Amino acid sequence: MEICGGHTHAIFRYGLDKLTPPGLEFIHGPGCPVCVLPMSRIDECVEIAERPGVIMTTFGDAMRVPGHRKSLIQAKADGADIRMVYSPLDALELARRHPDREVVFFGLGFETTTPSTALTILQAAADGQTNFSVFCNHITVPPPIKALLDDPHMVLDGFVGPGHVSMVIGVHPYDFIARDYGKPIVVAGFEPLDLLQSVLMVLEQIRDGRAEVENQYSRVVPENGNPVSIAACAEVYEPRPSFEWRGLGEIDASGLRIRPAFSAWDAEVKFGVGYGKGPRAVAEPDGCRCGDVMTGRIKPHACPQFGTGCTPEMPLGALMVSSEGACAAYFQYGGLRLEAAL
Amino acid sequence: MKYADEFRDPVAARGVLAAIARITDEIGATRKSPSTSWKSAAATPMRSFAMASTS
Repeated sequence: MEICGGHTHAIFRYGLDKLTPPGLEFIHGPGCPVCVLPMSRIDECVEIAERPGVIMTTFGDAMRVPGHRKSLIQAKADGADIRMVYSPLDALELARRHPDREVVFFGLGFETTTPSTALTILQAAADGQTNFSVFCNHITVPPPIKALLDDPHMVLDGFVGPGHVSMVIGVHPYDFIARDYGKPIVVAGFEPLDLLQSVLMVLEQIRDGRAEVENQYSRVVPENGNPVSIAACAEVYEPRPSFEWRGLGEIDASGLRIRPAFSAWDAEVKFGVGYGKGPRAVAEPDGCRCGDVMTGRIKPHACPQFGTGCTPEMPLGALMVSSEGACAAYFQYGGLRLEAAL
Repeated sequence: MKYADEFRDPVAARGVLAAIARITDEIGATRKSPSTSWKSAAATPMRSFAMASTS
């Protein structure tokens, strides 16, 4: 399983699935943060965005994720002030420019983006910028891998780990995969040759009967990660008891929330929404099988909506929305765009 | 980039692909049974590998 959606796209973009032997099958993991975000969180984000005086900000790929009622871009079309930013610092700058408005950053992503949000909150706290807050949806990689490994129906022989995540957290958070489950994992870079070499390293472990954490991306990934980022995250966030993942359900300690010391910058506190404030489960759209794709039970093209009721232009499920989604990869690079258009 | 010749380092790519094919064959992997000969192994310390040049 390649955990990361960026790896999934690299595999298809460079045709690595065609270059490798048929006995080698890539299972696409849950490593696309937009894809695993439950619809209930989009609904809550829209609810905040539609309040008077709010400027909601977020990354571009979160704009089109369907919620139960509407996506953020639909809410924007309906009149909500929702703006795309490239960094949470852009949102903080908006707060400085609009002291009469409440600027909210819809923060989401794995360990790759948690530090920038944490550092922005620390900056807002240092500046006393209280009209800025974060709707925190940051999540972590190791807990869902453990959930997948605990699934009795899951058949995985090894993992290719996301190099950019390990650039922040290092490689040791994955030790349990080898130690407790006897599965190999290789932290990998994103060049096509990085991926091929990582696959080879996983295969060598399987052949030799080894189960280790190996670092193929050692030119970028330090064994113990980035201590400045880790310290900033530890200061600002604490684990939630559990967090809902689309397709995987609630997973213990898989999400992060803002510590009480920074509650002045926590949109859940400021606006009274979020975990514990309402029902969590929101049904997926009819026919959408994002959950089965996410857990590797089916391939994207086995979903009845793939390429017909669900396309990148008009996505039904989150896996077709994000540039890192498995369905978008199949559609874009699998020769299926043309077929679907016919 | 569907062909190894189009990699930045086609020689390295062809070598890695050949090794992947050889080991996949050695462990008897098929699409229905990807790793028939794999056995659970005790963990050993992490190793770090240098990346082959891609340029």
